[in-house]
Amino acid sequence: MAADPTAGKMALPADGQALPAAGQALPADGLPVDITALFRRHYAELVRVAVMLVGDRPTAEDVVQDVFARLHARRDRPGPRGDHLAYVRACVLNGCRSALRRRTVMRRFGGSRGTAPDLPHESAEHEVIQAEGRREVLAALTALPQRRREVLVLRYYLGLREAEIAAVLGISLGTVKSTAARGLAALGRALGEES
Amino acid sequence: MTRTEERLADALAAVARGVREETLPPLGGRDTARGGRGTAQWRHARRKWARWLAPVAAAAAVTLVVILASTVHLFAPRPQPGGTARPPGGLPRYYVSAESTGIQVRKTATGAVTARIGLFAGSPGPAAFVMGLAAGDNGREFVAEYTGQGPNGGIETWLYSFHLTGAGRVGGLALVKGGLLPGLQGGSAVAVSPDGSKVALTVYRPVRFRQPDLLQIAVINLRTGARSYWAGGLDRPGFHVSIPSISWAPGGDSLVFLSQWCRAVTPTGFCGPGVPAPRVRTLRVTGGGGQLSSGRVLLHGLVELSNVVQALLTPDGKAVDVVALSGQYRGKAHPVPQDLLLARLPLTPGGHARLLYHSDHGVVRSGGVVFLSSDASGRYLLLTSRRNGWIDHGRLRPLAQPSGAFTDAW
Repeated sequence: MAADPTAGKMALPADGQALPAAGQALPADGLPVDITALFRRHYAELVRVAVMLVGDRPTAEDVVQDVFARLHARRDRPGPRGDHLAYVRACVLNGCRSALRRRTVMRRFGGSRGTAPDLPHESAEHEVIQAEGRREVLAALTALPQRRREVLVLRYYLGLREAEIAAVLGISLGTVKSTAARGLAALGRALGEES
Repeated sequence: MTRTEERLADALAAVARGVREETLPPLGGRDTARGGRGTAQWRHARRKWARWLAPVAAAAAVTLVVILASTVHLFAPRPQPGGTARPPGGLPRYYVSAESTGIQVRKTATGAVTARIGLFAGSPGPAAFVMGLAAGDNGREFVAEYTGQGPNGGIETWLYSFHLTGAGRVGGLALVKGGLLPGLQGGSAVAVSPDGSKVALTVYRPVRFRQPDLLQIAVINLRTGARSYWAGGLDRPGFHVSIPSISWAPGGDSLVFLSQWCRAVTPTGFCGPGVPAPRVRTLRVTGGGGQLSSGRVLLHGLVELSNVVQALLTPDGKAVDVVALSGQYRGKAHPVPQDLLLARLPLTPGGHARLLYHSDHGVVRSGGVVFLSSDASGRYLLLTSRRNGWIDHGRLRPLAQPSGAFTDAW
């Protein structure tokens, strides 16, 4: 299977800042979000992040599509100040939290089981040797508290800097550092590794 | 980058590779492509009320259950003193606990001890411990597994059976036919077949100095004393195989067991810290022995159920009851996750999982030792860990906690 060149990238996209579309009004307190450009550039990446957080692709697609649908419905309103991509990422994270809360309620009252995060199908040997180890990592990641999981995904999949993670999650830089350190330590313990 | 960071980045990249851009649906097009649930905008509007549906339905169901339970309670005949150890279809009147000082029989209602079997009773060796306990014959017959040093100094395992009288006394304590297993250390998983004719238990056979012991499932025919052993086929480099629970399929020809791959195994067969990659497997045991891997996998670990520590097939064979741990690890010597979830997972297509019990109040004992056992109907589940009790409509009804009890049966 050919590898997706955009998959697993660790660098922050340089063109993350969205620009207003031609003909759109510019409100005083923030530029409108250019939904089309954000969608085109970051849709797949946001779905991947959501898959890592909610564990299954259909829910992840729903979460990201709902975010863009809401943005589209509010396209005439002022957008957020600052980095629009960070804003959309924060919306996706909020959507993931809501999906997980709903799933917890459904599970508690007789809903269906969740599924493991989608792993690509590769060779049989790969499946046996590597996929099992990855599932262990993902299962350990899933067992972490939500905030730690989010910090680790933003850092080790999107490759965001600590300041960028702080902006997306709306927390302080120190909290990002301590959360990441605790998350890694817990992950190491769960995997039986010395960190 | 540390090893953990490398593994995390690799796993996340693998997930990302599974989401290829060209396979993603266009905005608003996912549902029309997969069954027509409407556009994202419509879904968003619909969810405003749909998210309340589950809690409201659940509240209505709980109310109904409470009303029904109250009605049933009011009109149900009260249990009579004496009689059998177990009223048909009802809550067992006695439960049996294995603990560090032996075996105790207690009244379910009051916790009063009705009988004791001493630690060394019946065992020929100078030191023996109860390793496992299982009920058979609808809660009347029990099998207890002792392990310890035999008369010649080597490790031995003994399997004893006894029955409970209507007053909760112990009778007929005797070594079962074929129940002396020389050179084997007992594990913690024991199960009696539905017809009471066979016992399956985990045993460890020492292989070589500083080598992990060979884990086996021994099946003993209680009528003839014939034994068969099932081992191997599940090995994985760098991991120990652990089998913390065994149950019988209806008909008594097959077992369903939980296997785990552990970085380290405690003396009672439980995984140390780490995610154990659980598998619920079947094993047909009609032959004279063979590989543990000769059956098939019934269930894999799931996202919410990645750390499954117990798995029992229900007596009707239609579902598996699993105990899974999650959440933050706590504890000094052997940190364990503190959230415990008991769920019934259907094996039939289209069935829904049922959450039977959930606790995030630190009910898990140090080392992650959790035992689940069931009565013959599958209706009354016993959970043993830091607290022990039976599951009653989503609640843990506490039982008297014997000192150091690590497994209960009824």
